[in-house]
Amino acid sequence: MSAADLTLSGTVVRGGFTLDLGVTLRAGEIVAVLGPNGAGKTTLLRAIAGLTPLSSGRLTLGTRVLDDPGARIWRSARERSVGVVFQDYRLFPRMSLRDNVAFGPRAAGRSRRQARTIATTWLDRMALGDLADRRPKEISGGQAQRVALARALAGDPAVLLLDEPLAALDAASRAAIRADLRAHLADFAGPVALVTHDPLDALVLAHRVLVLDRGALVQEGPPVTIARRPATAWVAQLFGLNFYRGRVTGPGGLVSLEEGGLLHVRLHDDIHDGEVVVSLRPSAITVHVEPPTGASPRNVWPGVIRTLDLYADRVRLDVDGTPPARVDVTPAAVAELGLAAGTRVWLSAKATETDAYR
Amino acid sequence: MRQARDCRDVAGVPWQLGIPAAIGAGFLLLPLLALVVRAPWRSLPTHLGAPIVRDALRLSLVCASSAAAAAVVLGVPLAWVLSRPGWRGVGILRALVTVPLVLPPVVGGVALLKALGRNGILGHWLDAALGVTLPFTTAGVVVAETFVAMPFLVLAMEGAFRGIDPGLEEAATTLGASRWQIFTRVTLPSVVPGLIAGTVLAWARALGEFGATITFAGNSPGRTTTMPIAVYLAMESDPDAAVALALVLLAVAVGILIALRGRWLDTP
Repeated sequence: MSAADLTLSGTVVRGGFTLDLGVTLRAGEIVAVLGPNGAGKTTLLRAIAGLTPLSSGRLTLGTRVLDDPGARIWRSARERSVGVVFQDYRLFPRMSLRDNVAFGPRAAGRSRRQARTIATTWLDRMALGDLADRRPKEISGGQAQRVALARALAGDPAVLLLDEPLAALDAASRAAIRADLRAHLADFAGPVALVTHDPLDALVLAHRVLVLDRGALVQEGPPVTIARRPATAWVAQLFGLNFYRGRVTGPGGLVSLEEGGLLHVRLHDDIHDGEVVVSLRPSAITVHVEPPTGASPRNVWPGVIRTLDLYADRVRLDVDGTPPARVDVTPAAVAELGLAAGTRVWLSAKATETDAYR
Repeated sequence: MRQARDCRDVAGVPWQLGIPAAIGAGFLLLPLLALVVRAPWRSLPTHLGAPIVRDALRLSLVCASSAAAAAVVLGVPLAWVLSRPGWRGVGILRALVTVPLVLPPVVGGVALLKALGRNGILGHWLDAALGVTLPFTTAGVVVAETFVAMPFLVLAMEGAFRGIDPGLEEAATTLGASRWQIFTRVTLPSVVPGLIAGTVLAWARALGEFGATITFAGNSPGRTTTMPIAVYLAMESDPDAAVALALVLLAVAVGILIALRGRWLDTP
């Protein structure tokens, strides 16, 4: 199958929900689709796969129109050559793994023998050759994920869609399977869309990230940009950042925040006024038990610790203040400063660490 | 000791339920027990060896099996159609299809005569154009039994089809499978347990069919006299033979139950 770009521009109405989107997935590009539950991620995949029709607009693959309700064009899922790895894998329970993978080639009219050869090749490539005669219920989640990928790829699809491919796995096997997935996706010539909840998937696997919220595209860009400068509170939380909305009120980057408080920020993109969003890494904030003296950090404000959580080698403080903030400190600092829930503290952050953008 | 008694108070059966339950169980079991106790065990081989019994048994097995096969061939596709969500008119069709289930079989027999009898709506044409006559023939027995038994299979299969994860069919579509390929390779293998159970139920219902058969196909030994009809007729002439025949049907029924329980009803 020759590689072609996929372009979707239009709306999908499903139940009471409307997805309204204009995106292009380029051949060879891996695009992560992030967003909270109900953002429209799965609806987007279903529209591309041909499981849910567009209500308006157009879906094209290269020069081929797949769906255009205005022109009464509809290519069904079976005519689209769009491979899908479903979240729950949806392996056929009564078939061997080999027959599962051979299903696509068989449906495409290959002989039983040819289909089996193709399936065996794919299973070998996924290091599952020894398990070819097993049933789906006799293998682990990680193996099932690879079978699902092999089955989707064995049909030689033009587009590959993955719906939360790692969500069903336990944390221990996820890292290994993710690395594996990265290698297999790198070999795929067509566009790849990967729906995920896990920011790490987006960082490790994707060239570009689409952030959806309530049926609309709210941010789009390379993973590093999304991670550094999230446009919504949801994405900021996903990547562990403090996130505030505000308005530039003074020269030199003084921002008045919507939820109260003022921050001196580093202004980007020649922004001089108007609405901005501000993100601040939890580790860029310093905690003091006495009001800090000396002039170094521009931003200093009081607060009360609400909760403390230990994450590996650091402690995440949830501090109530104006504005509220998540702060990372070392366990040693917690002991040294005698921090506990209810402790009154002062927070400080350098303006250069405080990113403001639109 | 006290604790044990408390447990029994909770776990025990109140007499208001226990007594009717015991009477109910006895009521269902006593006639079967009577059939076994009063069976002419000594002359059983003679009765079962009689040509009229052998003919009835053979005819019953052939007709019930044919009816079950016809029910599968026609009923499985019908059940599939009924199981599709969101198709218009399916609700009404489902209600109509299940009418034979609650209809007195004799009424079914009369209805069949009006439809497929010599002067029936379709039977008239069958007779004139093709020279095919169904009433009072062995084929007529199969028709009557299919009419009564198929709704059982349709209902069982419709439930089985509804129980299938629609996600599997979606996955098959994205892999390029046609509707027919999806049905044969994904849908049908998923409902095999239901198909077996439904077929056995339909077969058992066909085997026991009496009212529609005797009305539509009559009573002609070797051609339309099935086991239940033979039992009914023998009660007047030779009660011992009737009991012997009844015993065979009871054994078949029990055998089916055991087979269904052990093999298919418990597996998903």
